[in-house]
Amino acid sequence: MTDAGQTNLLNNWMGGYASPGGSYDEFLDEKGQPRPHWQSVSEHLGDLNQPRWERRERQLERLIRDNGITYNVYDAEDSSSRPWSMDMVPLALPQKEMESLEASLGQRAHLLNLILGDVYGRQTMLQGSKMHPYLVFSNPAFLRPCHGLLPPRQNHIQLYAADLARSPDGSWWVLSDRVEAASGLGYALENRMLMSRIFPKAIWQSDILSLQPFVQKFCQQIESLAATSSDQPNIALLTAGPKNETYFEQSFLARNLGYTLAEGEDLTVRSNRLYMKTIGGVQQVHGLLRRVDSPWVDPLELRNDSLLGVPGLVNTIRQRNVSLVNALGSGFVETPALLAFLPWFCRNYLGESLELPSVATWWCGQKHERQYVLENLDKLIVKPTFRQNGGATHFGPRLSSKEKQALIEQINKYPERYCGQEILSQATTPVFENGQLQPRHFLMRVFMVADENGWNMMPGGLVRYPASDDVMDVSMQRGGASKDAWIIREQDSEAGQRAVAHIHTERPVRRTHTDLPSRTADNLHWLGRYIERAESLARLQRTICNFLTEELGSETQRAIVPFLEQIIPPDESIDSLLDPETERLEFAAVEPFLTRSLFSKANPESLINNLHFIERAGAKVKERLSVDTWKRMQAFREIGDSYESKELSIFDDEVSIFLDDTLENLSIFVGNAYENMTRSQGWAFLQIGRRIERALAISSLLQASYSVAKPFDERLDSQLLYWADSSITYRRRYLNTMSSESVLDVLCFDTTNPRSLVYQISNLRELLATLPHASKGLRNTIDTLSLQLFSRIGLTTPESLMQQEPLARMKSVHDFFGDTFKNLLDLGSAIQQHYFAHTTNAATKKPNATIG
Amino acid sequence: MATYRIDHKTTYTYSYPVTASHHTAILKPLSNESQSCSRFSLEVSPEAADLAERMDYFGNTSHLFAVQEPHDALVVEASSIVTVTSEAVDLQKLDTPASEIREALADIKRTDLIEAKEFLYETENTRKSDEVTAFGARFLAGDAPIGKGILALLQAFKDEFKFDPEASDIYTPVEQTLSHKRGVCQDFAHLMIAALRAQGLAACYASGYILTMPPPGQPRLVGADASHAWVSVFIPNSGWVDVDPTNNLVCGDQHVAVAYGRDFSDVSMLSGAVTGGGEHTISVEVTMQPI
Repeated sequence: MTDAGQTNLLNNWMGGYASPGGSYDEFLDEKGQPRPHWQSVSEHLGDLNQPRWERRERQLERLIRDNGITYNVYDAEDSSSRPWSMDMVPLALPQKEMESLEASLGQRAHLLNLILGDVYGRQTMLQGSKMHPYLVFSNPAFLRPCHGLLPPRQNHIQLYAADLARSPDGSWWVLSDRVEAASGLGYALENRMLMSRIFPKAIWQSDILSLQPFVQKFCQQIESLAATSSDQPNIALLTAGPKNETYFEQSFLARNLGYTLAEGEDLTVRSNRLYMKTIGGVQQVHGLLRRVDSPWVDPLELRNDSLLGVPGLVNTIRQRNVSLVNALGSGFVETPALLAFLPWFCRNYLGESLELPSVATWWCGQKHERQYVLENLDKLIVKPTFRQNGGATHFGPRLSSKEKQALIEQINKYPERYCGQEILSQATTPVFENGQLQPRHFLMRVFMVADENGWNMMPGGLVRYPASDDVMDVSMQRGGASKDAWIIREQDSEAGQRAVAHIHTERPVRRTHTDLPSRTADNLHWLGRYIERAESLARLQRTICNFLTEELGSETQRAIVPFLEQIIPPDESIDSLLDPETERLEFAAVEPFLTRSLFSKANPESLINNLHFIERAGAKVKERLSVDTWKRMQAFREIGDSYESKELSIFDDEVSIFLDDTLENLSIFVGNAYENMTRSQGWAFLQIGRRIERALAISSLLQASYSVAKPFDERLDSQLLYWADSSITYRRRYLNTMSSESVLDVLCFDTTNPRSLVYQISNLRELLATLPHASKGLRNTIDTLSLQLFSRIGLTTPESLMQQEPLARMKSVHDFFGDTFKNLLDLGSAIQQHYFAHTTNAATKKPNATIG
Repeated sequence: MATYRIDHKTTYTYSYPVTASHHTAILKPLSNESQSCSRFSLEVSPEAADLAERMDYFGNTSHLFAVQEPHDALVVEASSIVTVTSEAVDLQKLDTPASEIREALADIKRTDLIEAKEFLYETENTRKSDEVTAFGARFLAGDAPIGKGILALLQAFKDEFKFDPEASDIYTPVEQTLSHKRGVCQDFAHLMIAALRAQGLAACYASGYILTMPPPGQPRLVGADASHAWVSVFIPNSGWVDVDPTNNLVCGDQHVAVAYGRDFSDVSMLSGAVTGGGEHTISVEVTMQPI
């Protein structure tokens, strides 16, 4: 880096930034000069002119939307997800600063492990009279069933995260320690992925340390811990499910680390071992990366009202048959009141002083501390000692005198329930807002993982800042935004060079084969079915709309009746809609059924609802879908939301736009799935769902079309071809001669037409043969039904159905499609029964009720 | 001194078959300086898999087991023979001022009392509130003598509260017991513990059995008894003293303790997590006979 480079730093739009002065700013030093480690940022970002900058902003927005990067927000009503928000200007830190943080946070993580080892072991700290027993014995995070759970000397914390703030003098403070579920790692990796997409040159060419070596170390650590129970450990990420606020990052992490994402229901304990329920049977799990809070993981020994856990898991750990990261009960050290005792612990256990200070904290359960809090209420944050017991956080300076009085009263009455915390003045960093750089306070969450040589810090982190400068809360729940953190390699650092050289290395390919979890198979199966249901329904509607528009004046409209029958509720008679004399439709009576089948929220079979079902089933298997496939989910949501409960006439242009949009997105989804999904078990279940549903739709429509006594209306044949998108196939084969036998041949018996019934059934047969039971050489009802379907259609010809005598034809058509329809439904149930039945796992608590 | 044979049979009946279930049983009577359990057996039908015995955090014996085969009923039978040697403490004579005990327990330097401090603080089932604090203060505020205060508190349960199995379930908060003045042994034990803890005293929840006397002239009915709950109070120099708010008495040799904990949730005699099962009904038969 030359001197010229230095001055260049301000020769671009970033030069317009002014720090508030008088306090530390990340970008500018006290003389208003850019700090040297911002060179890369300035080089790559500062040179962008406005149009190029805006183009990247749009790209970022699209990436976030298309990748479905969200953060679930808890609302009073129902939870919704909010798109992720990332500032394009990163936070830059020099490598040596990171190394010094790594050393002092390593000390802290080590200390926290010692505290956990003590509290879940010999409890000597309580003998030492410095640690107040209330903070242990009354602490909801102190889980008694976890006492003595780990072998002595095994660390409780493998992955340590801390929220750091920089004070105005430039020194770092720890605001809180995160070990219970250490969230944010996935988002930090995601932010880096986003930055590397919008600023590829900056990330690939400059001196920013890569995050990959850290990720590898993290995996190695989890695997080595699990390896005590198996040479080839099988690891899963235990999630609370799609409603959890950080579900996105959990599925992102699972995908990136190559671990199976498992909910409590996917797992079961048998013979003191943990197993995953998969479609191939149960498979032992040796390690869990835990993203469910400790009290919820085992309804048997921990919170008995938990539906997120696995009954018997704690005892499985006790028997050393599974390892959890972090260990159960680690959340004890997150208790804010403990911060006040850390310096003492450090001197006492390590004989050292605590290198990185915590935010000053006073627990009101102690007399002097309470006095201080009461006297300085205006300058402090007052928090509940144990957040698990509920209670609000009070921001001293904002309390009205009435609120203040009420708080003082509560503190005096229940002092042990409160602790006071200093409000830190904070350093600033530039954020891009309203077209320019503005100084803003921020927090940085950093991540550490231990290996045999000590603690390693991830060279990066998740930076968060509040939505506006007068809001103190950076939480994503309140609309804050995030940033990537770039650690800039020192020119002369060997370690740094090694790390940068690692930038392209990927994790070694995993050969461990794990079967598909049953619940995932279930969701993929239903995703396939909803996709096909939506498509069939959209095609029906399009056919009906076209017919009604084109044949508005025609004499008889009987040809469209079979189509209407598919969407009219079974308890409604079609006869009331069709004038028996003129055979014309009572349009005013028909239209409400059409819109009901399209947009009604109340009708569970409406197209809108099917789109919602697709999205919901898709969300549950998100980690199985490629990014491009996932994009369609977003599209379905948008279409679904914008048309919900609309009152449109079916002749409105909007309806045909809606149908075209829907069909286009469905076909893109299917096309993407074809191109991108590995032909694994998951693929088979998705396809089986689609094939069953499409075969059902064909059978039902053909039965309604041809099992009638009246002579055929030839317009029916062309509508059927239009519905099945098979007009061209037909024309190539039969030119312009239209006959019902030929149409039936194309739609039912043509093995080369991917929309024919026989095609669905043959394809089903192939797919079913790949299922685990079949590949083990076992046969069950699934195979019997598949064979029945296959042989029945194989032995049937168009001629045998289309007999001359109307009643005989009615019967043969009716029976053939009716039997096929029923066999398909039975096949669906048989698959459900065999592969998904054990996914239902409602753990209920049975307390002993009768006592004296 | 007395020796008892105790048979405790619990039957769960499910409306749908249960495919798998995991259970914890805390049913084995304690052996300590007051009583000794000379025989114990635990039988589970259908047969239990992975039966394991362990000592829990509080020193109680707990059994973990699973039932892996589908079943629509589960029967758990515990049988034990226990000899109780303890005699009722004369509380009238214990006249240490409550304030003295309170201060000792609050003193962070009194690490010798650390085991009692485990039972000093409110729990989910023994929440402190203004009303609960005021209730305890009637008997144990200031320097009231500890023994007399506890006796008066026990008397208050007899005079002011009504035993009423319809009034509560296992989740009834102490607030409600206090305002409705009704409940069963578990509610009275929780309320008494909450009141004692609100006065800065240490108290724990005892789970076990009590010998019930048949009405004069009638034979003892097999299975008519139930499991019972009472309170143990910590008094420095005397140790833990068991008292029974439901029966207004200081425990002697008619109580058999199975487990002690901070509240019911630590010592629930049988709990479990089942897969399937739908609705369930429970029937419990307890027989405690002197031998």
